[in-house]
Amino acid sequence: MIKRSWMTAVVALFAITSLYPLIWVVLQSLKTDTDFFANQWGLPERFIWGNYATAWEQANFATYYANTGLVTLASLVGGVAVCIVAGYAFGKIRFRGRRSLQVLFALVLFVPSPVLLLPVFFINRDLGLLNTYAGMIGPYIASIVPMGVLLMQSSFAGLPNELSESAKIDGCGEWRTFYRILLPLTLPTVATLCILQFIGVWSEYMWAFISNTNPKMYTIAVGMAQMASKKYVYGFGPVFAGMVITSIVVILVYVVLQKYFVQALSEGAVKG
Amino acid sequence: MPPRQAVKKQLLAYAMIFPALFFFALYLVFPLVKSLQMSFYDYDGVGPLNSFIGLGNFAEGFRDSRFYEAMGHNLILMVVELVVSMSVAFVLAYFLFRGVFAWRWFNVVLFLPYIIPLAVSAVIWSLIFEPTIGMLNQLLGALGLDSWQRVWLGSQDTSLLSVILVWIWRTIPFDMLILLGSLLKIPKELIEASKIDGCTGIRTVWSIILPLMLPTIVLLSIISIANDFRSFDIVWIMTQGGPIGSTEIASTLVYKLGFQENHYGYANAVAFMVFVIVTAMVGLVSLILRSWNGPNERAGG
Repeated sequence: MIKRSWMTAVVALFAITSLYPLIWVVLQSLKTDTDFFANQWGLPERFIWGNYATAWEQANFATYYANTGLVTLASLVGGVAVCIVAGYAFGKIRFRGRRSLQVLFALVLFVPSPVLLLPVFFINRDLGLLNTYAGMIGPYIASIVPMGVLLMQSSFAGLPNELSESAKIDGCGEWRTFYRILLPLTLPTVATLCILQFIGVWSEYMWAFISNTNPKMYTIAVGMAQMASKKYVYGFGPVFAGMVITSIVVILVYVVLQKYFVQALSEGAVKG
Repeated sequence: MPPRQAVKKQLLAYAMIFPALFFFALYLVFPLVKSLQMSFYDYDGVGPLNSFIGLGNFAEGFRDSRFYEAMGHNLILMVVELVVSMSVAFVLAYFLFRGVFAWRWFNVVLFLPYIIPLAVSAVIWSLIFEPTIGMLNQLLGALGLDSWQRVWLGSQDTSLLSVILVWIWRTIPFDMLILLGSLLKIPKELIEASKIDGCTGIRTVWSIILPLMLPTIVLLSIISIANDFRSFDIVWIMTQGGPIGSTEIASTLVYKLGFQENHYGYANAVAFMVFVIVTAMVGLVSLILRSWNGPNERAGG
């Protein structure tokens, strides 16, 4: 029998390795560079809040935030809506070709992205979508489709058929039955999809990096990485501040919605 | 149902599927076809595809040491991830399951490395690994372990190790979450019963808990393999595959062959070979682990 305090000690040790790098970043983000070189373990000599202003203004974080917010919102609303309606059709309507389409969707669940990298670039180049919002939003919507449709389909299929039948007897058409009666009952799954898509798109780096050569189109992940590669120009303090600015929204959303996050990620993995 | 209504219902179904199918076809299926098509051509990225070279690119891939090195690094990354991340994650999940003081707090904190954007993790860790100002070398110095100090990311001997360390840091929380979810589904009576039968803690884990978790472990392995071959951000931001290719993985190699060397046909052939290998591995792993599992326990997970 392992003692409870021993187990706590082991877990606490890992908690430190998880948390300390993040605390370290926050501490350095408030220091001058000389302070950082001399002493990176302690508290700042003076708190240099100006590092945040420097990062925000000089490294254009305002632009990155606007881009990321817009792209995330559009990919989230678009992606989730697309999955909801398709999930309903797959889960509740019998139609020709349903099985084969389902198999097709499932096959693509584990496609490694290196194989998509170049062709998606060329497709968007030919469509004139490089350096545009649409060029990011389209692939991001596609990225949630296979898993999202699967989750929504099983959520709709799990609802008893009597519900929709009695709604129809009451005079609801197919669309009203879906929208008014069944959709509200699948909201937990919808929330799961929203969380998965939010965290996926907000932090996405690879595609945003390849798709945009124009710095005005950068998302925060790309802008922050570009800034970090010029740390001797901007100074270390602002680079650390940039990392905090990049992570803060995701961390806040995570802390507030922690319960749903855990549920979303495990549901996404286990059922998807 | 009268036939007209049935037809209407079918049409509605197709209309509802259409948007999902549109994005799916344009950005997931069509790219796969296009990738395969481009891999039969010698293409520098300008103008139409016109110099067909058959299987030439694939033949080149089989002879190219860069391809084998990148796949090798990816495989090392994958094996270490599967063994180390999953074992550590299992221990943490089991401890949290058995009851640790303040476990709710630990649950929130332990998950943070998975929440912060991967690009941020990559930058944080490249600063930690910095040879002179980096936290790691300073820590080793303070502990009197000066001989352990390294140019972590700048030397071929330690660069892959350093990158893998960050990948483990990142994947443990996710593995832990999934394993903990599976542990919590095990009926308490089973564990109590095994104790009454005189099973010690480790035996209970080995012969009761692990077999029950097998479906989850299979699933997690498959997800992990797919994710290991998807990774790009960490390596790209930390080392760009260097020094001298010592951290090159499939995704960075494909990126370089295409966007930096304008060898797009060949880059697509390499990407397609990676795709086939990963798909085969995922299929193989699920087959092997499922046959172990036996038919009677397939329902769980």
